[in-house]
Amino acid sequence: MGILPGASGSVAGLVAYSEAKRTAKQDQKFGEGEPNGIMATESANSATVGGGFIPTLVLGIPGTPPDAIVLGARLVQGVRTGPAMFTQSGSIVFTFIYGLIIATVLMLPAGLLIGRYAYKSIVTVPKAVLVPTVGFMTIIGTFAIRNSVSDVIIMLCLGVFGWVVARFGFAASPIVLGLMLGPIAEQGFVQGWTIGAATNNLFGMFYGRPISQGILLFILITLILPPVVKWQKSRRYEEADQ
Amino acid sequence: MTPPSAMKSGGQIGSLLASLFFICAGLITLYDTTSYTDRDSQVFPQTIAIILVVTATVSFIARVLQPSDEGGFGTGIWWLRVLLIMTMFLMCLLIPKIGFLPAGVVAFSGGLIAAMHEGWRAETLILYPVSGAVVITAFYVLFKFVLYVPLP
Repeated sequence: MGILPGASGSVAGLVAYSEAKRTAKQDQKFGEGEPNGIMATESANSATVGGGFIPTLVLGIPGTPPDAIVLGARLVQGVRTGPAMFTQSGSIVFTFIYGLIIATVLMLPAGLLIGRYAYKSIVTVPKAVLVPTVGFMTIIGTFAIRNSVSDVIIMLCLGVFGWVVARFGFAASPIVLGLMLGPIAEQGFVQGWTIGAATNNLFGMFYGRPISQGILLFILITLILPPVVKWQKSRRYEEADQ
Repeated sequence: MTPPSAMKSGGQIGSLLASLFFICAGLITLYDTTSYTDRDSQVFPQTIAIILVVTATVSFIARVLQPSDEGGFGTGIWWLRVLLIMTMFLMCLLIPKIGFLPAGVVAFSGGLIAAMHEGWRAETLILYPVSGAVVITAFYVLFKFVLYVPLP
């Protein structure tokens, strides 16, 4: 998720939470303080940092909002990003790589120490104060992007929609992913379609290459595996009951 | 007896309605693409709409074949939920008229009332609004004077 420009830690957190929920054991209660849910979102959030540096360093497109600040700082210092930076200014690139390794290693002690006190204090904040605070933060955060009240109204409408459909088994993360990846997918799909139609090889264009076959295989596994595992589990429970 | 406002909503009918909504959304998109003049620009939305209709139909059929009351709106109190959303919408309407800070106070007060399930005591009656005032002012100052966001 980190390498996709615009899809930052929040989107990765949503996707990770959905996956953790989907693959959870039956006794895990997501949405009621399940530790695995917190671990999934937080580890996904941290994982986007490294990935976000890929488009930032290679293409000069910030992957996450902090990368935009890093990119701006490099531009101010006169350091040009792109593939040439890897050959001409290897020391800068390796500074980032080593910095990320150190930061990743330090996450554990920092998380253990800060988590024990800071996160605990957040959890102890009364819900009556926490709910309007989060609501206010979402409004001010949305407004700050383009200084538009319309954006806030859209955010609220989509928030209500997402909450309602999530209550009935439709996860919000695929919808968010669709919004984020839609333009990229559309561009690639239309390009493939146009080339395939022009060369009279539409099927081969989409399904003929090893990489597309591999991706399709993974999609099929992702689609088929959960119901099969669920069916096997229920069968095991039935056998145990008998 | 469970009060009517706190009754647990059934997940079955809601899931079917949600599936129907996605089917209708897909069909409307399919219909809308017929007005596109360029054939190439029709391809992607049509593909996505067809996938949406197929998957939502599968979800609908699966839910019909295996009825389950899983999901639903839970046991929350409806008027409090509506109040929370309405005050946030109200804030949006008030921002251009009275400014961000007073509109924020309105939204925070509504949210505070909506999220207060424990009953008010003398100390919470003072402490919570004061906490709210601190939070709103802190964020307003941060965004307006540190991050230079032109808040009205």
